[in-house]
Amino acid sequence: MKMSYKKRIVIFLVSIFFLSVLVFAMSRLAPGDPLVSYYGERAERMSVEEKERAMNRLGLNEPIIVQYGKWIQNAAQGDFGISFKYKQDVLQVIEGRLVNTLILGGVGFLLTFFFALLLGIWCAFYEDKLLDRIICKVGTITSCIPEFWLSLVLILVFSVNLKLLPGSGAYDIGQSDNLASRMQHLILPLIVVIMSHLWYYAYMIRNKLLEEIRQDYVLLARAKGMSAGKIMFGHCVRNIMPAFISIMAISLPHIVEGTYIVEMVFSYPGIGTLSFESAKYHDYNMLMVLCLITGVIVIFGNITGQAISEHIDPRMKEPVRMEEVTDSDGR
Amino acid sequence: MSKQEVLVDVQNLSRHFLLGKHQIVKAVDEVSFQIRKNEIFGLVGESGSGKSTVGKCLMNICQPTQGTICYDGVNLCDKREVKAQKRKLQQERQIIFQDSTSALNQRMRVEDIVAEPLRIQHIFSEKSQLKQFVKEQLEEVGLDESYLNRRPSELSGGQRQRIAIARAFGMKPRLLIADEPIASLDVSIQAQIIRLFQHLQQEHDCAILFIAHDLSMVRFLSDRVGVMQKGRLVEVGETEEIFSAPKHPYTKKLLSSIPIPDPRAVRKAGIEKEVCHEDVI
Amino acid sequence: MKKENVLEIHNLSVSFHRAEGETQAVRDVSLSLRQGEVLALVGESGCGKSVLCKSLIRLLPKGADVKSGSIRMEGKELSQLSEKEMCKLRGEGISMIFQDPLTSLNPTMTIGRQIDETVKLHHPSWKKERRKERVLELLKLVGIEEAGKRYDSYPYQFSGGMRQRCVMAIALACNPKILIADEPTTALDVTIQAEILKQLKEIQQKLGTSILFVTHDLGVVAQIADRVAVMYAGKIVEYGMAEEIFYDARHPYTWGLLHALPYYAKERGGLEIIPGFPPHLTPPPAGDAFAIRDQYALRMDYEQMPPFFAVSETHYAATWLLDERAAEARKLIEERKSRNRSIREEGGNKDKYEEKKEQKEQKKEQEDSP
Repeated sequence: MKMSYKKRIVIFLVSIFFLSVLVFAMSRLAPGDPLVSYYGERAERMSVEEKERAMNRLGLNEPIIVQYGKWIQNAAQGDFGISFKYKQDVLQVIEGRLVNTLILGGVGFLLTFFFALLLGIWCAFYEDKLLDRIICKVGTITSCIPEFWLSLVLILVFSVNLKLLPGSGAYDIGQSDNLASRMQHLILPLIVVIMSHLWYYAYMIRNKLLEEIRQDYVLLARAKGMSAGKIMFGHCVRNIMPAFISIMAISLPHIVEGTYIVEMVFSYPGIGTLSFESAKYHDYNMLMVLCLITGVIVIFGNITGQAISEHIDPRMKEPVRMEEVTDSDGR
Repeated sequence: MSKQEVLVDVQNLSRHFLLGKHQIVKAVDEVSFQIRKNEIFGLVGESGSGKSTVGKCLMNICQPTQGTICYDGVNLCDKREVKAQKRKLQQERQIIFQDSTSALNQRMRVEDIVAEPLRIQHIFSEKSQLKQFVKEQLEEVGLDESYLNRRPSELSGGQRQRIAIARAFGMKPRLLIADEPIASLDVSIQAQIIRLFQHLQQEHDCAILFIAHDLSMVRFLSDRVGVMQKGRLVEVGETEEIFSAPKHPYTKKLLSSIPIPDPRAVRKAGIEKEVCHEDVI
Repeated sequence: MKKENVLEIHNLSVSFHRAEGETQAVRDVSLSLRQGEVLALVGESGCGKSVLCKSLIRLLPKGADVKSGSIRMEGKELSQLSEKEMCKLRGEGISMIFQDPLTSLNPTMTIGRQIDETVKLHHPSWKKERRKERVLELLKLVGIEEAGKRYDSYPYQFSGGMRQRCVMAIALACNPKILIADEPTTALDVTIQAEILKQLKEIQQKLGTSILFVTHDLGVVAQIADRVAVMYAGKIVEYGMAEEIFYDARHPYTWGLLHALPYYAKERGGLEIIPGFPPHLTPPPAGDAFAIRDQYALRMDYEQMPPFFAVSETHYAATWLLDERAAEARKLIEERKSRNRSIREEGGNKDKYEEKKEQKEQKKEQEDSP
């Protein structure tokens, strides 16, 4: 069914609203003491009255609905509050880290899908030949390797033993604008990100293509004299594109969250590490913003994915016409 | 003939589908007919004529937009009545579909496929009885014991359709809806299945709504025939009447489209048709 | 006046290799297609007719291969062509139409583009305008009206009959010498089937294409075929001119196929059927594969494969009934022949409505007065 863009935007906003309510309520209802993250060890030495006063000052004593009302009022003006842990404006803390994560996740995302498509087409084309079988076996094994283990092995081999590549951070100290330094730091984390997701998507694409190859129209295309390669690219790959792009769009959140473990192991200053901390230390304002960012990406990914595949696949543009209507043989 | 008891009474049945916001498709439009007890009623029409939708409405798979269907005193359009009589209705009405490949679960054994509805209705208390009954059912449709442990994928289209028939007749239905059961079979197998239907109907005394897109085989099976075109029932009558003296031009067209297996006659007819082609259309 | 053979198949055998063993889908088939004729290949599903067709254009499914035999097109041995030459031959020399028009077109491409693709493939030097002209010409040839408007339509906007016409346009794009039509009308409604058959015949006469028409329905065969070959369990069991097959069939399987047609049934309930199911071909039975379903089978049929006996110069059948030793069989054949003739003379099975009605009324009276 085709949806108007207006309708899509409304759906988008409503989903974001519900997400914010949910995250807000759940984070506050979860057990734990937010003061600990704000005052650190001092919180334990505070008296009951001091604690009371601190809670009041941070606005944590009011009913959740009131708190939420205030939060959303401020948020509408662009003020998302301060981070309890960093005692800085939330957006300021996130800003620098978001760029790092977007670089790692974004590049990883694009490369993963690029290689997955190549590998998928390759395997489908040489289906059941020796090469395809080897790639399938190897792929399954690699996708089973845990990310943290692979990261550790890579660090051990390339940065500790061979001293070829840096094993932690996003850039050399003080060189955040140096592209070469950033690239060097990206290589190992990227390998892990790609290796751990590649086969999953490549296999999906391979199977989609095989399904397509078994269609009758491929037989007709063969019968009219097209070579197998031309059919593969002219028909099959073209036909799985909507599915491919939907998959890409749905896995868009991987940009942010797919790199959590990698960021931790490589001490890469990104959003992954930040979200982990904020949940652990009850950093409410930080958690809200991070969840919203993830949410926006997920919902945005789904909606754009659908829009794109509608654009590519002509059948989805109009409501599917029933046989009842079309079945007058034109004569 | 009219004194015979009526089993299903369909009055002014309509089923409309919405296409987009403004376009309405009348899949079934004001259709009225009756099926008598122990009668085979053939419903014929081309794809898109709404014949399958009528069958689905009779099975409560599809809710009619308008009209009433009365089955043995139960109003099928009234949800409460249907719910109250659920068991009776489920057992007494059975359906067979065109595509036996997708209508049978490919992973189930033939024995389980035939036994499943019987188990659900708790008709047999003992397993051995059930097995014996399933065997008998299979024998009735011309398959021997060796088929019990096979799976649908190992069977040919005709054999699969026999399994579907065995499953339906195992419930001792009073109304069987056969939705194009022979459409995707070879002509020679179609003949086999038609013979099987004739035989089973005589043994079981049940009414059959036989839906088909082709008149040729229907004549051997049905007592009465209804012809549908674009959602409307254009002609109903005794089978012989329809075949020997069709009244509606569409029925005539359907009849003349049946390929005649006689090359010389075809050649002759071809020349004649050329001459009067303009008048027909 | 004997026409030249455009396609000659000699002793072709095709097998599937499966875990359970070798399935002989096509067994020792010899067949020839003459210039400008329609040869119908008739048989039930699973008899190997589709496999035979696909082996002709070398598009056999995985696991199947040609075991022995030769396929010659105008004297050229097809098995010796390279894949590239074969690609060129497909479309230009031999084309194919498939059974299901719903799935044989790419759903995401416009009709025009799909036909254009074929033209472009075989005439790479043609300019865009010239190709479009040709596509519109083809659409008109297969009977699609308002071809210009239809050029940019997608397959889902067409009905089944229209789609099959488009498939025909694709197959005919490069004026192939041979067209293989694999059950092209089976999935269509009867009225549409009649139209498509008529169109195909017209095109065939206009272009002089030789057609190998595969079907399971002898009724359809009568509409279009010049010659008929009947196939059973991977073998050709009878072949001859259409009239010879319809009026003077010799093989019991051909009889069975004919009498399963409603037209040849004497009365309501008189539909004759072939009992049983086709045999498994892993491995195929010894002797005549049809023997177990054949009420006229001789002992010989179970033991030895019958050779082809010539009935006339053009008509051959592989059944022991035609052997000199089977004297009684001759009577049988005569019986069949006269029965069919009488039915045809009556114009097929037309129930005598009035007669029936009377009978029914009499019956009812009897019932009413116990």
